Amino acid sequence: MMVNYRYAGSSGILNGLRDSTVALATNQLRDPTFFRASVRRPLLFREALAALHAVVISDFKFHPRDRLAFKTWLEAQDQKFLAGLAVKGEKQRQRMRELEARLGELDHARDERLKPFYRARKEYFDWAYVQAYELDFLYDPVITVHPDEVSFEAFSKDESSYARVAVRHDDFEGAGDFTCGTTNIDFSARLHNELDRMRDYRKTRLDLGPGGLTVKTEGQDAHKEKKIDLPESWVKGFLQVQSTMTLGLTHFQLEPVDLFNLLRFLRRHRARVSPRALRYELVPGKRVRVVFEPWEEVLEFGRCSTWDGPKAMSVRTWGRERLRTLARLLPVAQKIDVFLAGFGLPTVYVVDLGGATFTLALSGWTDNDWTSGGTKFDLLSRRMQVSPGELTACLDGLKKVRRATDVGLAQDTGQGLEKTRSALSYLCQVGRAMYDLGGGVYRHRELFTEPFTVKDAVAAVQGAATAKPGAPSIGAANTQEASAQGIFTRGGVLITARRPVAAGGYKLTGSVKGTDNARYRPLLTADAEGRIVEATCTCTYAQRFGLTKGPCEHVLALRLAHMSRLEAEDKGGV
Amino acid sequence: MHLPGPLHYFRVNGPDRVALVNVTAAPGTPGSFTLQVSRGPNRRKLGVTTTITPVPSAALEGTLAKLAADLELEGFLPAGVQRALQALQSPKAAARARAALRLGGIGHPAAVAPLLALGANGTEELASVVDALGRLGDPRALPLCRAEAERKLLSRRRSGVEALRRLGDSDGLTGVRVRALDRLPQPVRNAVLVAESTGDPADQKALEDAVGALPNKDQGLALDTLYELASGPAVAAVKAALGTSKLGVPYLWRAAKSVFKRAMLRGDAALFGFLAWRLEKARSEPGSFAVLKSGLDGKDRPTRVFQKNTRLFVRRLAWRHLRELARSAPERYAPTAAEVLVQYSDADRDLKAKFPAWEWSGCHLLHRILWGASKRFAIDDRSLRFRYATKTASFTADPSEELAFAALWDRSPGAFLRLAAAGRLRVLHELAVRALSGPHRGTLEGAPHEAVVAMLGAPFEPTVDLAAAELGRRFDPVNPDWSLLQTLLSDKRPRVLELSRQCLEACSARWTLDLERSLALLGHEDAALRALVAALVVQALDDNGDNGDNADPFYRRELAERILAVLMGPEPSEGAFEAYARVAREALGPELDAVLGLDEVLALLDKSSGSLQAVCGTLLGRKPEALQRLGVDRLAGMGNHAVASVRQAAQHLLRAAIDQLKDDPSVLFTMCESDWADTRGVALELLKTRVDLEALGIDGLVGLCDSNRADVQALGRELILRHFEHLEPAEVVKRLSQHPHPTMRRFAVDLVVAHLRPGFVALASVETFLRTALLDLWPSRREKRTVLDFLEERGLADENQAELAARLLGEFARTRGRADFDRAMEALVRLRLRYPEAPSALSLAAPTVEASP
Repeated sequence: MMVNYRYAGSSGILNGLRDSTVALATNQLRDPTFFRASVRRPLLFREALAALHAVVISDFKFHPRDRLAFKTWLEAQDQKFLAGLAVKGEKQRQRMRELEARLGELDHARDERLKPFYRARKEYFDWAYVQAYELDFLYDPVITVHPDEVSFEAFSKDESSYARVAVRHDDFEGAGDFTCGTTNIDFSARLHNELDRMRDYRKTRLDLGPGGLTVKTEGQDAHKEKKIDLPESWVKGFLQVQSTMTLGLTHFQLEPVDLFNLLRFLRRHRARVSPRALRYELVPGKRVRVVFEPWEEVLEFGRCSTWDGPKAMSVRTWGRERLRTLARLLPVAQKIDVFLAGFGLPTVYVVDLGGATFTLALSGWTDNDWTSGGTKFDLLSRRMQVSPGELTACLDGLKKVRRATDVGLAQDTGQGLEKTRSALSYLCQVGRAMYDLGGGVYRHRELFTEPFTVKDAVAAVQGAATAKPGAPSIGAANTQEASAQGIFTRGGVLITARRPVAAGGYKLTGSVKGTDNARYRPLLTADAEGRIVEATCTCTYAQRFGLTKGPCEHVLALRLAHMSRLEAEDKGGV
Repeated sequence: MHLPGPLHYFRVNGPDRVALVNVTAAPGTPGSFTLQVSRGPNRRKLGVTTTITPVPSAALEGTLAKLAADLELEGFLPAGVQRALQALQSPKAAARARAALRLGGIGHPAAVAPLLALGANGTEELASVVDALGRLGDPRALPLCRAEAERKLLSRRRSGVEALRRLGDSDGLTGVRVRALDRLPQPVRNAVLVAESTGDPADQKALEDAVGALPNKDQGLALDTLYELASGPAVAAVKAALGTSKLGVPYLWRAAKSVFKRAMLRGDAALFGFLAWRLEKARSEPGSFAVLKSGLDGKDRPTRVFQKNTRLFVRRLAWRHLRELARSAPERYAPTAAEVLVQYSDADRDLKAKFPAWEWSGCHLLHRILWGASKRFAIDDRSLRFRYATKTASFTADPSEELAFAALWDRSPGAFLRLAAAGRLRVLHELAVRALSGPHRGTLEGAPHEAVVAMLGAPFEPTVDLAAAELGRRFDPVNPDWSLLQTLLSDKRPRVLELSRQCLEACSARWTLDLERSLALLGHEDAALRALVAALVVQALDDNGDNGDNADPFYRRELAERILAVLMGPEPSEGAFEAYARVAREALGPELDAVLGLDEVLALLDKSSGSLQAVCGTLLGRKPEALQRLGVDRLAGMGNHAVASVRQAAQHLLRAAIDQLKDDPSVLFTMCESDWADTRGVALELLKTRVDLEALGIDGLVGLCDSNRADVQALGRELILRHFEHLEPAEVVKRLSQHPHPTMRRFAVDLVVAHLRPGFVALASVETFLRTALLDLWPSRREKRTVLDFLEERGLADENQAELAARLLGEFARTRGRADFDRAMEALVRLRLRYPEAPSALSLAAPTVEASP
């Protein structure tokens, strides 16, 4: 997916001796978005953006070592050895030794002579790498100006980590001059270095607008254009993150020192064998403990992490090295909220920085990024049929207020709560809205440059085709969901038991006749908002993948039956 | 001198039918010979003997010719001629053809008339007759050859054309060329005409591409026709096409065979050698079957193309041709054999061969030439593979002992030179080096420069040494051979270039002050050589200036103007003018300064090549008025210029503006952040040595520490320590504590500990900093302990500080670091004991009193 960026200038920081200006150039091809204010706590802002940068450039995927040079050397040694075998006479051996010694001297002399060249070449390669990296691989973060905060969102290079920095307007002085909207910012490696120069004793001004820092000179086009082949997985990943955040997640808190201990252990220990999971053990009424595999080293968190859930559980997560990107936030963090989706499922860490929030969402494991292998967390979230009109009305309502809770928006739009929740779920999955896990509200955030039309709404709810390039297929276009819809429509679902649970929601068991005409027994726990919290099934798919690739068609069909009953109860005023 | 072997004569009638002319060295008179003419009825009854002695070597040839003429007057003819002439009357066409070829090989004029008579009948053996007439070189054969050259039938036309070429018939060949061009397909015709007229390699490539683009059926005929044209580009195109194509393809093989025959007829040793090797290489290629039209009767027949028998035939034919050359034209044998040998490389070896076969078993022609006289090998005639004759076959120390026709190599020692220059096998170089460094040393000494230079690329060290020694002998630094130097310079191989550099350096005094030669050498293709030339020219110009006795201002001015003219032109590739620029910068500054004013320099700085920019940079530095004109801000901007000399000029001018910079050093702060180390270095040096504290201020000093660059930070630290007593410690500490760089944090920790103001407010202002130091994932133990001790000390001072210290220490105590846990706990306990009311993570339990028994 080719994405064009056009900047009127470059992002940068103008550091004077007494003040500095952080000028972030916004994409001119998107809706005009402005924000101008002085940063109240520049150090906090600096550390948050530094952590965001750490996430953006991080690549924790396994890359096999390039052993070409070693193999060449080994081959040369083999040849030398074989040549030595062929030499029988002592005289020739002596000659050979002399020649080798001479060759060594010459090689050394050559290396000495070429040292400046090698140094210059390395410097050039470093420069070229940074330039090429910036132009070809660094995907510019998405920035959104909300009425109450400014947020920066980005994905890591390996697309397995999502980060969001949200700075509240309270943390700015004179934040009256802004226009809400979403855009991209020109984010370069040099910018990161300059950001490190922000200080409290220098008045720092954030200038978010199309101009950036560039001063146009005569006869020179100041515009900077970037054309990046944005992988579809990047866009889909954004949407899957939103789906994950709207799930019913297991939540507990950490103190900064707990995270420090966790990171310190990871820094000092490197697992050479599997398993390499981080196992969270949650026991009601007790402090949360984390177990480092494979050493089975236990770390008990502080008092604030006492687990108040209904039952004990153990959740294993992988790709723990990615947590190191939070290192710079440790001194400024006040508390950390951890959200677990389940075994091998994503984890979200929300770091409270006082006036700002840093959200780090990690996929199940590093190699399994947010979209690989057909991951479909969107299926776990709420699914109730909504009409295009209802969807558009919901979007308009959200656009008007920019941020709202599901209840508030249901009241504003006059649609039922269940409908509103489903509509919001759809909007999150087509990149028109987002769920702020830290704030617990839905926010209007347009991921795509093209406006949302009725046609898109129809496509979203019918799943016939997605209107925007790169947007994932949702609705019935998903194989599992289409199958589930088919099963539900032909009456292949029977709810055998449905009982409410203490934490809200229902526990359901059913009998579902699958597309292969065999009967399966799904078991499902849905929370009060209809989101799947736990699910199992007797089918092969569920046995093999669990929920790591989304639920199976039988679980989805059972949930459809449940939603249908809920809707009927909603209408009936039950 | 080479002695001719016995010459046999024969006549049909007469009492003495056989005559033998024998040449021996005259006893007692060195350099003279004795000729004996014996006669008799047959070989075994030679009686009457005439002796001529002594014959000086200079007169030997003439005397032999006179003897031959006398014998011919008596009716004698060289042995074999009579028999061949008789065979011309044979009823069998094949016998007549062989006889004709034999007569052509012997080359006796008596054969011309019978051959013409035979040719006039237009019989099957006509092609062989024309070939023989061509070799005889008698102009009487011209009408017949011209007629044949116009024939459509390939075999006849080939013979006719090649005979005309041997006869040197320019008119006939003009007609041949016109007809050949007509036969060529249009694209090939156009391409060959262009390539012939320009000689450009690109056009040559276009010709080869045009040939390659033809369908197989047309390509074969086109190749043969191109070879018929015999121009350099056409032959090169043929060679390229046959080198890459599979020979067993119908239509193509016919052309390849025809070209091979033409090469033999024409005496084109290079192409013969190449094709003979190519045919041998193709020995394992599969042939094909195809229905082809016969050239003889025009009928279509299923035909085997390049099958096994054909392959064996042509391989034998190649050796037969060489053998024939050895007999009939011995002076051509060694050069032709050398052309064959130089085609072989180690890639032709059969590495999997097992005893009694060996690695060169399959290379028939190579074997025949190199080991033809060896007893070690035996040949399997059916497969043309050689094998060891016995299990105990041993190696020979001298490869020349096993050469076929070894004496002929000594007659044409130029062949050794060819082996040394182009051979790729070790054995060939051993042969060549042995010959060229021994008996044929004179050949090497008389060889053209190109041939000796070519030897430098040999894959055999003694060959290279031999060539280098010979070139060293030829090159005289005092009176250099410019043509040799030119030859060396035009070769791009590293070894040759190295030699060129040595020669240039040795005779630098002879050319560095030669304007044209210097300019030409400064523009040489090789960058390293250009650099050397520039260094030598600069040195020569400097020497002149220093001594004063040879100073030639006119020469310098002319050189400067010429170099400037070159630099003003478009640079063919980046860095091509670098050597010119270096000479201009380092030796011709005053001359160029007089030519170019400040305006011109500034204009050229923006719109010229990198080399000219470098020159302009140097000139800018020579113009003090530039400071006034440009101002320090613009000069500081030029400190980031990509060209080093421009930066140096800016730095030089800024140094001159130090009085201005002392008052306002802000420009220097900007330069400190330059990506260029030299510009940074100048700015740092000026800040360190020339700018005082008043101008720097605390903002400036801390600004230096705030940099992301380690060298700037280091200067910042140094200056802060130097001026610390004049600064406000609290402010410095507060500012530095915000630095995220670990190195700077260590520095800041020391300052905080030593200079932080007393009281809670000051301590609270650095709380985040202290927390950062404690919660560092890559901590320094010294730094951490310093902070812990500092917190304890400040905490003990008053209750408010104790609360803050206890909070940080309590947090740190919860980390799982074992090394400093005790220290933190101890500090916490002390704080707790001193201020029990202050909130702390530590609670002290009351001491338990053990009950007495």
